[in-house]
Formats: sequence, C-alpha cells, structure tokens
Amino acid sequence: MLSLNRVTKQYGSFAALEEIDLEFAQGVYALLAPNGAGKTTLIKMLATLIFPTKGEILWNGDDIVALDASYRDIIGYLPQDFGYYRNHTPREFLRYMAAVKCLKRDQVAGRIDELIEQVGLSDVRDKKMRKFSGGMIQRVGIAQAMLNDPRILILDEPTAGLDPKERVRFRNLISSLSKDRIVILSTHIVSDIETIAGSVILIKDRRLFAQDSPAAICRTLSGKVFETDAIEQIKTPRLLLTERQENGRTITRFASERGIGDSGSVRSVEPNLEDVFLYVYRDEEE
Amino acid sequence: MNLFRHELKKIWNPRILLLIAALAVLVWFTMLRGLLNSYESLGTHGGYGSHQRELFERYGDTLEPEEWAAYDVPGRKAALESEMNALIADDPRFAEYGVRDYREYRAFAERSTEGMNDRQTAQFLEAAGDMQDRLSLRRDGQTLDEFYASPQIQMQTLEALESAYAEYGPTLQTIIARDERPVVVEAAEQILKRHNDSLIRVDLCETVSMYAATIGVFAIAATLLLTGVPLARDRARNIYLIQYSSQTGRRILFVQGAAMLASGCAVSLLSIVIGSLPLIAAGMGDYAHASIQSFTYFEMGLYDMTFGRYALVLAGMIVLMCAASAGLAFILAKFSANLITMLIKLVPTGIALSGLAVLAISRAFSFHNILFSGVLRGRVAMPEPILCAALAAIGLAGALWVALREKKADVS
Amino acid sequence: MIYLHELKKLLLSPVLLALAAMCVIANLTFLLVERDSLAPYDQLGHPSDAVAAQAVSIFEGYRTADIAEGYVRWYRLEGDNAERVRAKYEALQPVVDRKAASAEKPPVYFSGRMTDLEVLLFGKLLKHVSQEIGLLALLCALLAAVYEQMRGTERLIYVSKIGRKIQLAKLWAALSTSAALSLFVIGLSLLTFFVLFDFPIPWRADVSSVFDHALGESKPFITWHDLTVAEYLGAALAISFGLALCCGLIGFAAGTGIRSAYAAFGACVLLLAAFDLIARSPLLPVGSIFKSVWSLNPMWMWRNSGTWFTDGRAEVLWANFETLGLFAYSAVFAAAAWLAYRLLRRREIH
Repeated sequence: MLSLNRVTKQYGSFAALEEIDLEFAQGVYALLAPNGAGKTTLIKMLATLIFPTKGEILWNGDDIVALDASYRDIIGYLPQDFGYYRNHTPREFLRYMAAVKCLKRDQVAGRIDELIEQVGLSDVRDKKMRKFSGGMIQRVGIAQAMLNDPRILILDEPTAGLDPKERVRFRNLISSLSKDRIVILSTHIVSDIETIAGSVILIKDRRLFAQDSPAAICRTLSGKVFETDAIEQIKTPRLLLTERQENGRTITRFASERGIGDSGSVRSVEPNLEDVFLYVYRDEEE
Repeated sequence: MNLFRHELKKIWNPRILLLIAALAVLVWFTMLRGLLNSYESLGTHGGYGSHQRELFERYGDTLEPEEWAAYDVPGRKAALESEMNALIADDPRFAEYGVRDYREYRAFAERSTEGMNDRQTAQFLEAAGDMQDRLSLRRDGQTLDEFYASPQIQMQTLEALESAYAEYGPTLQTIIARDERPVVVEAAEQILKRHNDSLIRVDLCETVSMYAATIGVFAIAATLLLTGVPLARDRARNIYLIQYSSQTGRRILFVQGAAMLASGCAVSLLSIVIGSLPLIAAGMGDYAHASIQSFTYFEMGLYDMTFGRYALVLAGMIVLMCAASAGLAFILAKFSANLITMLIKLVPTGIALSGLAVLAISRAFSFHNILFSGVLRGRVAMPEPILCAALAAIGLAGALWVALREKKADVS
Repeated sequence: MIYLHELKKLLLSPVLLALAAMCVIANLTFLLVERDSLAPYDQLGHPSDAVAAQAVSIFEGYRTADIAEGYVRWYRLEGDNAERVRAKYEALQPVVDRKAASAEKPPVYFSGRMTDLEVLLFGKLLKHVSQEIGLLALLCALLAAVYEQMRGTERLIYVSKIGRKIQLAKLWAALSTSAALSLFVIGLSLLTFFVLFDFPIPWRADVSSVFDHALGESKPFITWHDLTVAEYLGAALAISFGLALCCGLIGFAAGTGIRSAYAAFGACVLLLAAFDLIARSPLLPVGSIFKSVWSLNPMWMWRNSGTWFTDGRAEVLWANFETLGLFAYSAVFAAAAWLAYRLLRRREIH
C-alpha cells in the first residue's frame, strides 16, 4: 500500500501542492488536472526525484525517502519527455537500464526480449533509436519502466504527443500491465482515463479535490449536462462545455446547476469525464 | 538587426560576464599589476638607473650628438671616480689587497680566477664582493633608491648608458657581419645609420608586449567562454530546428556568426581599453612618438615605427586573435551536440590559441620574439601580426564555410 | 556491472579519444622540434668520458645555508618568513652531508649531455605530459558527472534502484578512463622520446649526481631521498598520475555539485586560474605558511615539475612537498567530491 499523509510541496512561499492525502492499492490511478496544477510535482515526489516539504509518503508504512534503493527497486517510472541515448539500440538501452536497476545479467536477456516483444518493437530492436518516432520512443520508455517488474508503475503524461493509433496501442499496453501492481498515471487527456483507469484523482487549487472511480466522478454531474442546437435560447446560468457539428447544426453541450429537463431543443445527457474536467476546472479556464 | 540584437543578448549572459569579471580581477592582481609595478620600478632601478628616463625628459624622443655631449657622461663618471677614490682611501679593507683607488679596484675585481685553487678563488670572490658592497654603500635595510644612488651603481648605470648610446657601433657591426637573420641585419644597419638615436625606454616594448600578451590570453578565454555557449545550447535544445524553419531560415547562422564575431571584437576592445588605462596612467603615453627601433646589448627593436603605432599593432593583434577565437568557437559549437562536448573541444583550442598569442605578441618586433627568431630564424619581417591575421582568416573562413555548408545540409 | 557500462561510455567517447590523440601528437611535434635544436649526441663526449674528465664532488663541503641566504636576498625576506626558509635549508644540510659521504654513488656532476636530457625529459616533456593527463582527467570526470543531465536521462536513472549512487560508479569509471588515457599518452610520449633520443641513460646512478643542477638555477639537484634515475622517473610519473587523480576529483566535484554543466566548467576554470595566478603573483609573501600551502596546488606543482623530490624553491617550506601537496590537495578535492555527491543525493530533480 502506497499512501500520502498530508503531503505539501512548497517552493519558497509558493505552494505547488498542499496537504494531499491519498492511498494507492492495486489498480490504475489517473491523476487528472490541467497543466501546471501539480500533477508532475506529485509524480516526481512518488518517484523520489523531489521531496515533500511537509508530510510523508509511505510504502507499507515506511517512508519512501528512507527506504531509498529498496523503494526504487519496486518502482518503474516513465518521465514526460525523457532523454535517451540516440546511438543506442532499444536492446542496448534496456541492457544499460537493467544495469542501472541492478538486475542480474543472466536474468535480464530474456526479460529484455520479452518486453521488446510486448511493446511491439521486435522488428527494430537492433536499430539505433535516433530515427525512432515519438510513439516508438515512448514504447522503449515503458519497456524500461517494466524491466524490474515493478510493484508501482509511475507514468507521467505517457500518451502526450502520440497519434491516435499509438495512443490506443499504448492504453492497451498499460491496461495489460496493470495486473497485480499499482499504476499511477498523470494525464490531462480524459479519454485515456475513461478506458483504463479504475480510480481518478482530481487536484484543484493545489489540493486533492476528489478521488473516485470514473463512473462515480461522472455521476457528480448527473442531471446537470445538456445538449442543444439553440443555445441562445437558454437563459438560465450555464457553462458551455463543447460544441460539435451534426447534420449541419451546431450542437452545444453545456452544464447547468438548475434542472432544465428535456424540453424543446434541450435534452439531458449522461455526463462524461471531459464534462467533469471542464466543469471542475472552469475557474482556471475562464 | 533585431535578430542580431537578440543573438547578442543571448551571448552577453550576465552569469558568464560575472565569471569573466572574476577572471579579470585575478589576472589584474596576479599578473598585470606586477608587470606595471616592475615597469615603474625599472624607471629608476633598471640597467640605466634613472639616466635613460632623464635623457628622455630632457631631450625628447631622439638623442642628438650635441645632446649626448651636453649630458656629459665622462664628467659624471670622473666625479663618481673621485668620490670612490675617497671611499677607497678611507677604508683599510681595500689597502689589505693593495687597492689604493678606483682604477686599481677595477683591475682587482676583473682579475681572472684561472690558476687559483678553490681556497684562493673563494677568498678572492669574498674580497671582491666585500669591496663591491662597500662601494655600493651596502648596509642592512638599504633601500633600492639608496642602492642606485651609491657611486658604484651610478658608475655601472652610466657605463651601461654609454655602451648603449656611444659604443653601440662595434656590436652592431658584428651583428651585420655575422648574424644569420636577414631582418636583424637590416635593422642593425638602419639603427647604425640613425646613430641609435631613439630614447625609448629599453624595457617599454617588452613590458607593454608582455602586458598585451596577458590581455590577449585573457580576451581569448573570455571570447571562447562567452560566444560558444548560445549556439551550442540552441543545438542541444533543438531550437535550431525552429530557427531553420522560420522565415529567417538558415541565414540565422550568419547572424549568429556575426554576433559572435562582434562579441569577440567587443570583448577584445573592452579588455584593451580597460587594460590600457593603467599603462597610460604610468606615463607610457609620453613615448607615443618615440621610435621602437633601438639597440642595447639585450634588446633590439627591429622596425622604425613609433611606440604609439606599435601599441596599436599589439591591440590589433589581440582583436585578430579574438576574431579567430570567435570563428573557431562558431565551428566547434556547430559540431557539438551538447555543451560539455563543446567545452572539451574548446579547451585545447583555447590553449593552442593562447600559446600562439603569447608566441606572437610577447616581445613582438624584438629580435627576441620566439616566432621571429626561434621559428622563422629572422627571415620574415613582422611575422607576428601576420600569424594573428592568418589565424583570424582561418577562423572566419572556417566559420563561413560551415555556415554555407549548412544551407543545403539535411537536418536530422 | 554498471561500472562497466559507465566505463564503456567514457572509453568510447570520441571527444576524449580525440583529445588524448591530440596530446600525443602535440608531444611528438614538440619532441621533433626539440631534437632539431639539440646538438647531435656524437659531437658530445660520452657520459662516461665526461664523468672521468670532469667529475666534481659537488656535495663535499656544500652549504645549503648559502641557498637559503640566496633566496633571502633575492626575495628580500625578513623576520619569520626568512627564518622559515633558513630552517628548511638547515634541514637539507644532513641530506647533502649524506650524499657527500655516500661512497657507492660517486657524484658525476657536469656529465655533459645529461643537462639536455634532464631539461627535456623532466623539465619539459614530463611537465607537458603531466598537464595533459591532468586536463584529460578533469574533462573526463566532468563529462562523466554531467553525462546523464546532458542527455536528459537523469530522471530515468535516479528513479532506478541504483539511483543517485550511479555517480560513484561514474567516478570510478572516470578515474579508470583517465588512468587508461594517461597510460596511453605517457606510454606513447615516452616511447617517442626514447626512440628519438638514442642516449645511454645511467638509470641506476643517483639522480642527484647525474643531473647537473636544479632546473633554471645554479644550485645542485638535491633530492631529499636517494633516488636512482629510474626511480626518479617512476616517482615523477606517480606524482603525475596523482595530480591527474586530483583533477579528476575537481571535475567530478564541480560536475556533480553544480547543477549547470557550463557553470561547473566555469568553476573549474576559475579554480585552476586562481591556483596558478595567485601562486605566481607576489600577493602572498615568499616564506609565509599560506604561500607554501598555496604552492602545493596542482597548477603550481605542474609548473614546477622539475623540482619534485628536491628542496623545491623558497616558495615551499616543507620536505617532500610534492607528496605532501598531492595528499593534501587530493584529500581536499576528495572531500569536495564527497560533499558534491551528498548535495546531489538531496537535490530535487525538476
């Protein structure tokens, strides 16, 4: 069990995160927040790259900073925009990362091939990475994170910059890797979460706003999300969410605290995570 | 122009400027100040005592025969001889060795030790040293001024002056007849023809050239530290991809190169201007119109040019070396994927450039200059600025080639 | 295992290999130029002839106090500073007396060609080589220390099991690479020297007797311990390696302790410049303890490589100053490296 007890991170007088309490058991956890809200700060604290100013992060009751190498031994981390050796092949790079993770050489060879296979890079495993696409590099990244078969897999914006096909592929990969371990991923792409996350963590105003399943999170807006092709006729206070074109008409999706009900051109719809995201972070957006 | 200004702004990074300023403080306190102090002291405590300076103050840039006669070196020497005769007559230590006057002392002191055994040699050296101490009024706590005012040292400095301005002929003739360096022979002929009339201080060119070499090395280091970073950083952070695909495109390399060159020149000019202030304060400007072409036993200025022009040539050499440094920094930065690999390349480049700068600038236009005498054996006139110009040309041509080549290169 | 990976990275670094090759080429060029300026060996008497003809028992009756007085006069020393210099040379007198009494090692003072050899091998080549391997070690350690930061891989690695301890593996790898490159530079440079200068060196003779006089001075070459020429060469190379180790530690400390690679490089430049310039300047009075301590720094040691194992000059006040300086400064830089490593362990990586 990984838990955060009243964790605060301050940079001088600026608080990046305040009094975060969280608990992670097995499953996929998605940190959802807009850019700059503190997702990466939290991720980096979990990865021991930065340290809490107040509070503590515990793994099975022990402070992760004090656990030092024994904690790092059970985590896998994929940073956002990570660096790599351009002249290495995936195999060479993974061999190096295996050494860094203090894995025994004889155990590693098979594991590396297996992971390369799993992330779909078998054809290019002996090719230099300098010509690799962003998606391929990201797959090398996940392979290195999985090398030590981690109990905790930490992924920082793993699908950012990937094309839709790569993103789907990556989501499936994460899903397949999530058995028997904690997967914590930070993202602001809500479609990623809807498909793979068992639990969503929302951070707002530097504090924990909510932690629940995607469905439960969505239910918080139940009955408050509507669609209409005549938004100008809606006089009640509302928050515009999204717009889409349908049969030559502009369908506007909006949220309103007051019950409007199905009437005329307005119809109530099931809220999704994107609606919740836009609704929760409206202050920041507007 | 706007882009050029931005590139300049990237180069003139306050933190690096702070580092350079710290280096400048170190260089001043540890090297330049010492050279300047030594120059100031040598004005009265050098081989000619204060006589050479006096001659210059009295007669200006050149020494005419009637001015030399008016200075009356024989008369001064005769007065000193009488003074020393009196000292010798009053001191029984001289009488112990049968020395009754200055002439006999000279004969005694100049005796050869050949044929003496070790004990006799030691005894002789001790006695001669003792006599010399007495004639130079040696005592504990004697100041340099007092030492140089003593009759023995006064006599020595007058003799040195005489050999430089009256007895130079035979030595120059020997050089003309025997020296294998054509440029030195030509200079000796010219000096002979002009009767070695320049009253420039014997240590002036050496001091100024060493000072300039120090500033040169500092300016090269400052140029390399300052100019290489932005270009290497643009490359390391892949900013060059955005730059290349902008409207300016790959022309940006020319702008960056020009900014680096301008910065190198500015660094050198700033160093020269700030560095020359103490020299001017020390009165070196007074010699601006004196010719550097002069001869003493240990120094020969080879070319007939004024000291003012000489100082400008030294300054030009520093600027050229900095231009070369900027050009090479451009090339190295262009071919380095990150800062550290660039720095590793910059270090030997900086050492080589500094070495060449010292070789060229230190004692430039003297027959002691290593490049002139040691490397080229005195066959080429003024090789020092030629070397600096050649290095600048190599640096700039190389940078230009790299920038042109990049115009059609595939960018990975 | 990680050590081997780090070693491979550095040993295969083109920029380091090119730098080492450049050092060898520079030394080769230097030796070729020097060879042209030396008179052919055949035109000089053989050392044995010179010994027979001109052997002088230089140490018999030699007073080290005269050296001290020479320095006191030259530097116009007074008070404690003068006394400290005198005390050092007083301590040297028994060494001279022992050398004078040593019957099995007769002095071969003024043995002709040995002056050229001494100046070229120990005064110039060794100085160049020593400086070159020091520079190589410094840059190698700096490169190793900032390698991951440069490539943006440090977040991946610091989160792995080895974490920031990887810096230690990098330090060992940098020192090993420096040692290997140093061997390469020294080996090829010495090989070139002995190929170019075919001269019978009296390897087993006492170095104080073989070398004409201390480099650039008129005093004899007085070593504190009796060393043969071979031992002297070996010891000088050992000190050179030690100085390279010092430089490696400086590079590692700067690269690890300072976040910006460029600032780390700047700090190294500033430190070495301060070492050199302050030691050469008259800021610190000769004979003072501070001057003596300062003069043990690697830059001064390089500049004065020809005085190692001898009395040195008036600037240093202690016997065996090269060994003392090496250990003292190595300890300081090792402490700095350790401190830098501790800092890194606590540093936040953004």
